[in-house]
Amino acid sequence: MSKQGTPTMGGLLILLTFTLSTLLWADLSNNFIWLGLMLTLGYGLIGWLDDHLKISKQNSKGLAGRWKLLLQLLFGGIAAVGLYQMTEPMVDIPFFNFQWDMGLWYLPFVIFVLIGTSNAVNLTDGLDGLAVTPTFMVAIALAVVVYLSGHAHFAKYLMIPYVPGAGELTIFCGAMVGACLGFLWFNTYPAQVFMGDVGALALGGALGFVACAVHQQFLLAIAGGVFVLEAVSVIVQVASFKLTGKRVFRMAPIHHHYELKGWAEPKVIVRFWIISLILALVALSTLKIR
Amino acid sequence: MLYNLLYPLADQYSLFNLFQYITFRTVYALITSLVLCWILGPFFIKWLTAKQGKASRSGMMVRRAT
Repeated sequence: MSKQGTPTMGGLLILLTFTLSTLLWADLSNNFIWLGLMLTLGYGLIGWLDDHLKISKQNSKGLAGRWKLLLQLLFGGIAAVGLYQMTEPMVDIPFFNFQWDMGLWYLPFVIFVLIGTSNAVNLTDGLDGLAVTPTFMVAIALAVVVYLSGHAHFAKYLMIPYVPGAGELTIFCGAMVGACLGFLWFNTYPAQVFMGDVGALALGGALGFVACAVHQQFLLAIAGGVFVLEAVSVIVQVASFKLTGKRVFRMAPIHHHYELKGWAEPKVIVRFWIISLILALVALSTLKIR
Repeated sequence: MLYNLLYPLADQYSLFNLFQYITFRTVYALITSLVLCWILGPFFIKWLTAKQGKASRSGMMVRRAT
């Protein structure tokens, strides 16, 4: 099926509706909200530059890799420093009931999570609705987690880190889920619009930020397992090709592998959604496995 | 914003007490962004298509090449 003529940069619609709704419903004296919006819109700006260059120069190169990474480091760095000041520099490890105090190493770790998540969502964005649905499923899981983490009693009961003020990020997640669903309305197979990097980088950054705010980076890796899988498939493919000259997958990211195996596009998409839903539920279950 | 504007009025109008609840505001934040997408989406897609249409017709792949 031809994908030509379908406009990209639909992520602008996600960012617009998400930002308006967050500003309307959230407590504007809460710093988590402002820092989260800064990071999301900052990563959106990087994606916008990338998309804009691809369209105006009429090629698929976009923003040079080093500029993209530099800007991601810049916005990620601001968010990491903000979180470092607002919260404890620790990572909650599920299954072991262990909170790892990383000290200053927390800064590069948070930046790594933010950049990693945004790029992983960007890699996943290759089939209609493939990125946006897992994104809102992870956002729902994170909404539950930030709500509980921002509530002293629930946090104590579940033995997760209590983060005063982080509960407000539930609204941030809610606005994000709504924007994703509204976008999916038009992006579902056969898509009328694609989100582009402006949407993918921003949404990935937002997920990473919310997880970092409540020290649940590991829970994010479980809930966002589909994104992890997509990113790992690219890394494995590139490493294998460079080292042995052989490809592991017919094509990376992995959704193209299944497409080339002959699965119909909607079948690949919906199966990835199912896996994503299960992983979001498993991630939530880790709140009780400690 | 509604929280900052309306919750202080809860003393006079108890209805505005609702705005203190995160769960209440989360649900309506979700619905707000969803409905905004429904309203703005069709115009937005037309606008994007008009802006990018010329480039697409000339045979390029704008697409989600990453």
